[in-house]
Amino acid sequence: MSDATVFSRSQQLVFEMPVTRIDAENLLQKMLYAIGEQLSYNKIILGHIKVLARVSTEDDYLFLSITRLDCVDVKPSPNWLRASTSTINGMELDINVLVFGYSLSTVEKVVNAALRLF
Amino acid sequence: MRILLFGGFLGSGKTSTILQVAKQITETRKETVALIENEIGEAGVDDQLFAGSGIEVRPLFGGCVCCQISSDLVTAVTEIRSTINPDWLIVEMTGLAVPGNVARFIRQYDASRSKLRTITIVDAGRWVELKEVLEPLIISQVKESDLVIVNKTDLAGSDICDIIKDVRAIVGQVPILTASATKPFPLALLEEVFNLE
Repeated sequence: MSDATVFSRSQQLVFEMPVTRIDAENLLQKMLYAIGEQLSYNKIILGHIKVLARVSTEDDYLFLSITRLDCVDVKPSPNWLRASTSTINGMELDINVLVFGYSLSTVEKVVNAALRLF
Repeated sequence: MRILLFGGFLGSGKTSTILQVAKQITETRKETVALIENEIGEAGVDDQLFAGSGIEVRPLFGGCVCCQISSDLVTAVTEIRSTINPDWLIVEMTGLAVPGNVARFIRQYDASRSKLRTITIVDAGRWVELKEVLEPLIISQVKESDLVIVNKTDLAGSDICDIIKDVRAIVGQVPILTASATKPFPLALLEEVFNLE
């Protein structure tokens, strides 16, 4: 198989209405699954998909990754965890996809479709 | 300064392993540690996970230390020794790097001849598929390791004995330890990581 496709993007999201961090986390998990589903082989990812979701204050972030479709790994920062029921107006996403077997244009298309969940 | 090189395929659990190893260094061994974090892609994601861990982190972006920016790695190692000089330097390679190549490169160009150990993390949950599709890369990552940690054994099910047999065939007599993604690493495993003698 040829080289891995590397896709990185930083994306600012602004919500029409404030959402709780719990709801944002659920949406992010769905987003990762949606990307993973389209880029999987035999229900695993031949690479990794990682997203860092940050809100404006320091050390307030959620890290998500997926390497197999049955599990989205979620690691919240202590500040995110502490404020889990409070609402946010938006967040900055750093999306990093490294995957074998798919072209850059395919990965880009899949990520763009997944971002429409927001 | 002793060097621990961590390698293994994308998503195998290198960052989580390093966080546990670093905690062991600072909290139990009462020693100091610095980290060189090599990520592919313009947006660094993993380095955020080390924020607040008390580890001095030097990110290396723009390519893989294995092939594209290997001289940057040697520069970073030299700089860390001359400025911080920690007891331990951890290098997290990208998930595409071949650890044996990086170890050879450091041994060749690091003038101080630091003691060095190469630890490769194997993702037991994806071993079968990864080996099926990416065999040359997967084997080259495991080969020439000083220690292999077969991680995520809880996701491998009944395949685990076959996976260990596969890895044993590649590495010969090199120690192979197992770990679960859901539990903290046992103390014996962490201590084996530091075994540079």
